Amino acid sequence: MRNTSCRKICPLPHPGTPSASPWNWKVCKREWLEQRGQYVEEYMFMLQECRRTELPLTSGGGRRRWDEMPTDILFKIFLRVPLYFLLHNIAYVCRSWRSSVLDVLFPSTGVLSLQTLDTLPVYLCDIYLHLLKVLLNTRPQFQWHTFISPCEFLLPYTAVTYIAQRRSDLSLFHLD
Amino acid sequence: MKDSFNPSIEPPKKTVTLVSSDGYDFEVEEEVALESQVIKDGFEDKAVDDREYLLFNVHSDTLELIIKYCEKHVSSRKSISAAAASSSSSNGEEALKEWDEHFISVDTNTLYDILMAADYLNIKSLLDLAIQKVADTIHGRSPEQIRKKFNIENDSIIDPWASE
Repeated sequence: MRNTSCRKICPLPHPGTPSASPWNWKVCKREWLEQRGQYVEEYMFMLQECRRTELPLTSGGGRRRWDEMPTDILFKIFLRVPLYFLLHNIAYVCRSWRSSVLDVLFPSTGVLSLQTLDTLPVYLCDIYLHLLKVLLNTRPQFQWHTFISPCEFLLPYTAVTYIAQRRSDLSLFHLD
Repeated sequence: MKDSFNPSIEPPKKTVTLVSSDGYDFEVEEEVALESQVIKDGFEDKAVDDREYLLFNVHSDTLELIIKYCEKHVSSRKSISAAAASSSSSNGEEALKEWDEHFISVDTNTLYDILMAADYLNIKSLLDLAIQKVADTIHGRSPEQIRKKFNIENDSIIDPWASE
């Protein structure tokens, strides 16, 4: 399995000595880093974090948090998933995933376009509007200057007032 | 003396040292390391004997996989362009695609590590590959199945159907 061209060299003097406990090993590592004089602060912070959370020093054994994945990566993943699947399944996995689904559905371009509703089956339109409601309530800092209503889908009157009440900064209404 | 004019004798390959989060040194060829955009940026400004990178976010197990991927891609890129130059037919690209598919067929924990490392090192093709794999894995599963597969806790998002 080991690739010949990438030699794996342990930098520590005696990594395998039985007397060295795992923690001592990490102290050795710190000294080694100090000798090299690089990034020690960063590394010490990591050590403290590991001690606090009792996680192993490396990512090797720790639990992977798919729900705490950086939003930009989640965003890229969800761009490759069909819209109906985003609405129907992924929006209900967990809060952080839903937050990224909202980013995909309602990009922050300043324009709130609901024309996607024209292309969706009715049962998905309900979820779409529900998620819009979530967005309006959870992100008051989200700014739109223009609103584009769907052409064929009949937007419920309540939905229009709901948007208008919460977004007084909307100045332009496109009602095709 | 004539050796220096002999094109068949290559100069010694330049190497770069990558240090994993758990303190292992990996010595890799320069062009392999340069697959990472992060390493590529500002690479020329670094002194030749200072080409060592401490990768605090990448465990040695993951780094080994990443290096394997980069080496494979560098070598098959060479063979593909060589085949194109001699205008011989080659299925190099297809073979590489197949290899990629096999490479990324890993458990979700390893996939997570590869994804994060590819993002950290900014290796675009690998990031693409991993992202597509996650998208494929997600697709077709119910929220409950996704939570189970990716070990995500249910933080009680209310289903709109259940609430009304």
